[in-house]
Amino acid sequence: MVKLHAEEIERAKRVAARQADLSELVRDYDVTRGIYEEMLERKEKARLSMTLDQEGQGVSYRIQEPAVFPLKPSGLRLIHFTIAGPFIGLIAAIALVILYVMVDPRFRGASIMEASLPEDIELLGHVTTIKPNRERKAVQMSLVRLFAVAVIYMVAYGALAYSRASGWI
Amino acid sequence: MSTDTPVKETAKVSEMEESFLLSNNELAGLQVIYPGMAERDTLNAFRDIRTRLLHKKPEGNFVVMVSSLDANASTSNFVAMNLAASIAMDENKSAIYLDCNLDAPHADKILQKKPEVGLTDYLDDENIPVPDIIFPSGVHRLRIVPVGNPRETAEEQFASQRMKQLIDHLSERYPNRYVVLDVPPVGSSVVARILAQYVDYAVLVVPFGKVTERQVLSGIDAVTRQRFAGLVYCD
Repeated sequence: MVKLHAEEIERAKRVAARQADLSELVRDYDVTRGIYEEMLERKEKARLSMTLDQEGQGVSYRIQEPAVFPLKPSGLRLIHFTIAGPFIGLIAAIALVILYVMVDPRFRGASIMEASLPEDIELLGHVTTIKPNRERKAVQMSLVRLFAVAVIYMVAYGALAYSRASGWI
Repeated sequence: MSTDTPVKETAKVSEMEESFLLSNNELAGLQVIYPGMAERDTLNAFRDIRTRLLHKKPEGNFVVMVSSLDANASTSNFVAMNLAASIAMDENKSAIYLDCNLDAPHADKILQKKPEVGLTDYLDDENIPVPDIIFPSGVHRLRIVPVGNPRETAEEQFASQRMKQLIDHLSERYPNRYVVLDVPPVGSSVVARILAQYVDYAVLVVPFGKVTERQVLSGIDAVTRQRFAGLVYCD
């Protein structure tokens, strides 16, 4: 009787142990099955999209504008400065001359002189010196030379700007 | 010398003998005005200046000095010479141009050779008579007195009694001879201040872009308000 009782206790312990083993195995099985099913599902999706892709029915993209590196800066470029340079230079020179004439107190005109001097100072007349032909020609020649130098400089400047813009230098 | 023979009657001024006359081209080269020249504005401007001066003294002749307000005498040379030339254009009047520019004689250029004697020699040497320093200019009724040989005391000589007597002699000898003195720049030489005492009128020349209002006013003070006749603007 006692022996039987002891055997029963032993069996009960074994059953409990087997029970624990079973639940552990069931849990492992569940996890593995979950992973398997997920994989299967993904495989199926992949297969489906591969098929669609092959048949050209899937999501397709068309490239409207390929991405490129920006080659031109967005703001003012050298060419703008090159074009504006001569004009700004010319205007600056004229402005400086006008400023000089405005600031300089010396008389540069008979009427200006008459207006700024007291009224009792009489202006007898306004004469223009007679330039001898030789002197007049010298003035003309110097103007022609000045014009030629200006043209040469402008051509050189234009050529330099053009070759810079074309990327030759 | 035939150039200074007394001519008592007005009508005879037009009969003044000229030993030589400059052509229009030569006059243009010397920057002297002549009737019918291409630069009509300049010609008319000088006639206008002459008329304004004549209006200031309707009776008899006058002695006028011309001086530049900047340091360069070339504009006063131009104005003085042509003022004299414009007076001489009138057939009843004659003019005498007295060069007082010691440093830059202008009369020598008109005469085209340096004369042996001139104003400074006359002032220095009492043996030189007035007719010897008066030369024909090549322009009708216009005579020239060149400045003469350089002398150290020339500036002081201008202040002498002999200078005053010369100017009086030149203006009094003929009632219709007008004396034009070309004097050094008023701002840089004492000569203008000295000679202003002997003249009836002083004309100051304002060259283009060289003279300020202050220079004009001090120039007028130098020749005195009483003798100052007016400004001539020259560009």
